[in-house]
Amino acid sequence: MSLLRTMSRDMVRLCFIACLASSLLAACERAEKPVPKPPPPRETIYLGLIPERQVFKQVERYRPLAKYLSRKCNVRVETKVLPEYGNVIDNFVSLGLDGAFFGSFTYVLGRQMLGLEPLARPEAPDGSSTYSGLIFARRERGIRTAADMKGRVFVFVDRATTAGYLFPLVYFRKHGIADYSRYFSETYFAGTHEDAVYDVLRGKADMGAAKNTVFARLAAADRSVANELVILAESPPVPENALAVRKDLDGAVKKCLKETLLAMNEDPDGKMVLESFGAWRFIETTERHYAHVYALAAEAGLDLASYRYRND
Amino acid sequence: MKKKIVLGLSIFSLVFFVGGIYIITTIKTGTSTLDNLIQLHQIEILREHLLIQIKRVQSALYLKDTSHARGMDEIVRDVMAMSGVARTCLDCHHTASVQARLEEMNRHVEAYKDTLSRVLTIRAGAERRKEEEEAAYHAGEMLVTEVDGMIAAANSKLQQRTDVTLVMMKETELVLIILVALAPILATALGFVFVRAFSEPLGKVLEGTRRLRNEATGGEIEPLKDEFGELARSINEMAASLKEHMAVIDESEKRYRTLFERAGDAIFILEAEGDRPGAIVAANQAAAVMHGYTKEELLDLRIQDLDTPDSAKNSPALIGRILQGDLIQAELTHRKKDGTVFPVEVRAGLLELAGHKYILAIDRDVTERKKMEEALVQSKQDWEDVFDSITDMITVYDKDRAIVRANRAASANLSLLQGEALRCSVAGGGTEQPAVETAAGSGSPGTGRVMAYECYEPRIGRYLDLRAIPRLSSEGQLIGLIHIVRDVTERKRTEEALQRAEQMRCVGELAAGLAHEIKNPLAGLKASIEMVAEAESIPDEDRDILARGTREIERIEVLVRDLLNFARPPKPQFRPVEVNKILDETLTFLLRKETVAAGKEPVAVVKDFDEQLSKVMGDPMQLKQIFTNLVLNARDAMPQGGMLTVRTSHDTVAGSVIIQLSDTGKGIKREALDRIFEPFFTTKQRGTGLGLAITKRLVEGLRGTIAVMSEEAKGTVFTITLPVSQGNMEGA
Repeated sequence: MSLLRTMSRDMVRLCFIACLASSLLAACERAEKPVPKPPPPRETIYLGLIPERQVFKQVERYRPLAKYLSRKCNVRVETKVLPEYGNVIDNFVSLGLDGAFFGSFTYVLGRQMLGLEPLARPEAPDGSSTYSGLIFARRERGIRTAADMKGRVFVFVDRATTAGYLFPLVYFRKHGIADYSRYFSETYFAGTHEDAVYDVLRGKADMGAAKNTVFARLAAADRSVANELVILAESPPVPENALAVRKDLDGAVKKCLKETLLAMNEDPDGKMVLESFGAWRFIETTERHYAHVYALAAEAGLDLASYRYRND
Repeated sequence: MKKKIVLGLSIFSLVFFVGGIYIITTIKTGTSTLDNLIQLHQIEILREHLLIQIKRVQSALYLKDTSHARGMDEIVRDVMAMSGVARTCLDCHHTASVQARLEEMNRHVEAYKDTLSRVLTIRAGAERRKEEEEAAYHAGEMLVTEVDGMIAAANSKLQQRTDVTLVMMKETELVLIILVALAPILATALGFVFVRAFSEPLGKVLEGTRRLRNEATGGEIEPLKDEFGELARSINEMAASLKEHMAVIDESEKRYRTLFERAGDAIFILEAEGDRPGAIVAANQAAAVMHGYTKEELLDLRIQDLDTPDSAKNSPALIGRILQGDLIQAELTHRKKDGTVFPVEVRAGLLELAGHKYILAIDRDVTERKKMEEALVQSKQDWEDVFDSITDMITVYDKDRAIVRANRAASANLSLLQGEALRCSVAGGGTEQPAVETAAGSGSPGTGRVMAYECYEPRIGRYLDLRAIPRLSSEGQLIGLIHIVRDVTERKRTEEALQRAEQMRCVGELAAGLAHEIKNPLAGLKASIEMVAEAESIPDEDRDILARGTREIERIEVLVRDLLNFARPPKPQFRPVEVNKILDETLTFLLRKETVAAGKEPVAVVKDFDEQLSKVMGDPMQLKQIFTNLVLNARDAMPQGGMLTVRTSHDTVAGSVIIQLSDTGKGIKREALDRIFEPFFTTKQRGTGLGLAITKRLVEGLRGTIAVMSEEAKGTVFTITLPVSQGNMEGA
């Protein structure tokens, strides 16, 4: 009887393995829908992604866009998320990037160094294609002015961001804060705009700076952001993160990338990608759109050529 | 039996059905259980995979600030893979509690990712960085613990399920063995029972039907149970009914056979198709007798062999029509065995027996009928000839007064007889209305009697005798009218002439008697007057008066004489006379005398005599008197002179001599022309009016005729016709 039981058990297990293998195969098949294979792409271009938000979410956000551009332009578009805004400039050459979605300040910093050519930037469903920098604080801490900030903890985003660093510098200069490192008890770089907002919200910092679009998105998802934080200052608008490519990129690819982005909203597939991306369309972006950034940099007294953009 | 079968099959079916349901249910349950086990294994593997991924990410976190630190790309890849596996676990079907745990786990994974992202991106002091790293690490460890727990739970469940499944499958195995072993035995047993239940009574039924087939009378199937018993009873009843029907069919066959054989007409059944169409398949005795063959001899023949060549030509066409379904009736001629040809009336049609086509033909010898028909036709023709030969106009009307028949004489004058055409005065009635109407309206149809009418039709100037006779059917019903119209003009004229002659005779008798009575006194009176006139003592004027008296008496004597001549014309003395000679003599004497005596202008006389004129049998004196009267009349009609043409000719067709006297005198008025031959009718101032009446009488006494034509101011022509041959020339 025990032998029979053992034999039966073995038989059952054998059946299980066979069924498991077939079901896994079936699961694999179910996991991915077979798609018609496009013709092999001619080359691969690498686009860098700045850590505007949580890096893994950033990767997921840009993945559909990268696939769309790959299909339309018959090139393999791969994204590389970077841990710092400044990394995109540092690693542009070492990582073999062909372009990146640059923040406005990052573009300005890297324009001349990297020989960048802006192509297009996203326009939000509400028609806005710019963002502003915000300086905010926890409401209950009673911080309303620069004077109230003294001796507090200020969280930036990144030295190479407009909203997360450049604008606060201008604010500090305007409000007589010559050396913020001495003015505040501690300053640090959150790395992403979201973290900057959350750090202030969670009390890890007293004040912070971040993009208004990120602030609004987080406030829409969590009412405590708007309820517990107070906006102290706002910068002039600057262009959203635009795709800029190296000037010596293959002309046809460059042209295709630009035209594809600009025409996405007229393509049903493109519309779906835009919707997942959170934009209505892409609009043309040129050097002249960055005037406010240059003005802020000048206001902050920065020498863009020698500006140290690393967060060390 | 049916119930038993149904019950047995139901039980059998139920057993199989239940067994099948059990097997299916068991298989489904086993499959489901196996499926669950496989899923649990899948889950286990996924969770193991997730654990591995989490640990991998943790290791990346550990090595972050070391020389073995992994690149951003690799870290991102590992984190994305971990996230993907976590989502895959969530996509599998779970119970609500497990699903909730998995969702919690996914939230922890997302929180872990957030902390990882902070670790990767934050640039702060060592303390803050360390704090973030520890938070991330802690989150990772919590996640590892959580996933470990889930894996352990899955393993435990898997073990339990496996044990349960083993037990269930064992039980199923046992039941299947029983079913597999028992089912054939059960089926065999049931089959044996059914076969036995069917075959035994069936055998008895078969035996019984064999007996019924072999035995002429009697023979029954023994009583059986259930439906077989009913079947046996039904077969027995059917056999009895069949025997009855066979008896009826036999009887009917005998009757029809008798009818066939004893029929007076020849009946043939012929082949309609095949290679011998028309071949005689069957024939009755009448057919054999009619054609002078035996029945056996007829069966060797075809119907075309009995036809004459003329009839045989039509045979294919007739057979063709019969095959199309027509019923034909034709008159043909057949030939008997001895060669005699006789007419037959054939009626034939298509007959189908047992899918084979035949022709049923009934022939009737119509020799006698033909003869009768011919006689009838001839009789009808004879009657037609007689009907048309009748000179009276006979028309036959129906009740609606439409002409249904008219003879030749009536057809020639049909327009006069139809409808209102015949508008003559009804003889004696004095009213003018259509004779047909009169006859139909108030005459024969109403009274049912024959009505006779005499009328004068002015348009044709004829007298007609109309008789209307009711037309009756053989049952005595009035069905119309028959008109017989006879032209009675000649008879009427003859009657009038006779009437006039009688009148004349009476007048003549009267006149003769009167003349005879007057003549003597007149003679005495005249003698007396002459004697007195001769006396010398009579003055001259009295003598003139007496002379006038004498002349008047002489005039009366002439009148009396003429009257006597008219009333009692002398009997003619027939002898052959030459008309030309008498004419010539009369003309010569009269015209000279008259001219000289009267002092009148002379009248030219033209004589146109046929020199070859035949002699006629006549009285010369009367002829002379006739010619004298006519010449004197012509003379009187030409007081200023003129021409008198006298012509004689011979009418060879009528066999008569024609004498024509034409003058160029003043002529006779139209209204007087019809009366000039009447006695005492005159247009002269002085005359008795008897001259032409006497002349006509004399001509008619000589068997001749006299006619007159005249035109005022142009002249008159008298034409006398005298027969050449007098026949039996007895006097008047």
